Amino acid sequence: MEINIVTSSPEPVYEQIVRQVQHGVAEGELKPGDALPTVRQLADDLQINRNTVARAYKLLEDRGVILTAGRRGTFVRDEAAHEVHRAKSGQAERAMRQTVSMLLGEGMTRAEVSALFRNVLAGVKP
Amino acid sequence: MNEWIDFAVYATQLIVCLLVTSRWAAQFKSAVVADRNPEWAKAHPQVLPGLERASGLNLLIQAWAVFSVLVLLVYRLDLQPDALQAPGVPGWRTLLATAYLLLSIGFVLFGLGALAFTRWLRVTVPLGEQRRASLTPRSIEAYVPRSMKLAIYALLLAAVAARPVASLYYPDRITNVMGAFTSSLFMALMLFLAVGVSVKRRPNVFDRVLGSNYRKREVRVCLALMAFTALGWLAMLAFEIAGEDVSRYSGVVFSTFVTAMLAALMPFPPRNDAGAPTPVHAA
Repeated sequence: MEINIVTSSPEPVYEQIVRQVQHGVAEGELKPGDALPTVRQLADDLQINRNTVARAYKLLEDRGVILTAGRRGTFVRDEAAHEVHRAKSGQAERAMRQTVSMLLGEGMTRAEVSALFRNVLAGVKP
Repeated sequence: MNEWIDFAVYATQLIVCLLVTSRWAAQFKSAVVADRNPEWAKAHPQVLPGLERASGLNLLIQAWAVFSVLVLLVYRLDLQPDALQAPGVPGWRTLLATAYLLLSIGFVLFGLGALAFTRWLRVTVPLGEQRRASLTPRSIEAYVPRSMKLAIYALLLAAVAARPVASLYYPDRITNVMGAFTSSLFMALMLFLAVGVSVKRRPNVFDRVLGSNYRKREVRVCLALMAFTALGWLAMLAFEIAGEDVSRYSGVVFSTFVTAMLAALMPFPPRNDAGAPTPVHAA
């Protein structure tokens, strides 16, 4: 699997790395137990600061996606796919809560919000 | 052994190491630019053809290679001026020493050329905004079996230690123990470093243009050089113990091997799409 970054993107580079690793896990391109390159290798290959990669790895570790086993290296955790799914669900729930709160705050009823969501969902192609 | 054989080996080494290599490497200049920044390469098409042409230093290296062969020929035909005569020194030793002196100067020119191009690249071509990298860790085991790697490492360490150990058993036949040990230790460290760098280095234009097998070939050439050097040291030590002077043969064989290994790294012509914006970092 490859990482593609755009240094001029408004999305910070470490987040681009995190997002793509999580996507790789979700899509099965990265499987439990797969080794990841060292911080040094990835930073050198992408020609970015090592702290940026270290930050991305730290975030992935905190989210339970990867495991750093000392000098043995960094590996995809067994439950990484579940953790990525959980993180995505959590992120979606937070976004929905924010939207619902905003709509209710603007005077819509719960029934109206619910109907609105059903309509939007019906209109979105899978 | 006829001294024309010595001449042929050293002349071939000069031609391959200096003339062929500089011409071959010059073809990759535009690909290097495209690797650093594909958008810049696309926006400045007028710069790339100029890069393909040989630069002044490149031409100088090629001229130096031809000059070096002519100097060797002068020595082989014994036409050198009196001031350069070395009475009592065998012809093969003069050829060996002269070839390596000329080769060293050629390498300095080569280094200057590479330095000038790198400087131009850094100053002129900004780093591309889009970059790619593989998420597969690089390790030497991906290119050679672990057992082979360990065997070659052990062979090299044994070859470094062999001389001091042998000097304990044959103190009258083995001379210059510490000097030879120090230089062999230094060379062994350089060889370990070369293997390490070939595995760990950032993917470069050669990987992209020549394919992912290029690194494998590079690593194997480094390991072959390591094994060959170790065997060479052991063989020379054995001959020394037997009272034979084999420096002439070892010089010829070593030069042949270096020439062959270098030629093994240059089998592929660069593709015509060298300027295409395909990132290098995936290799």
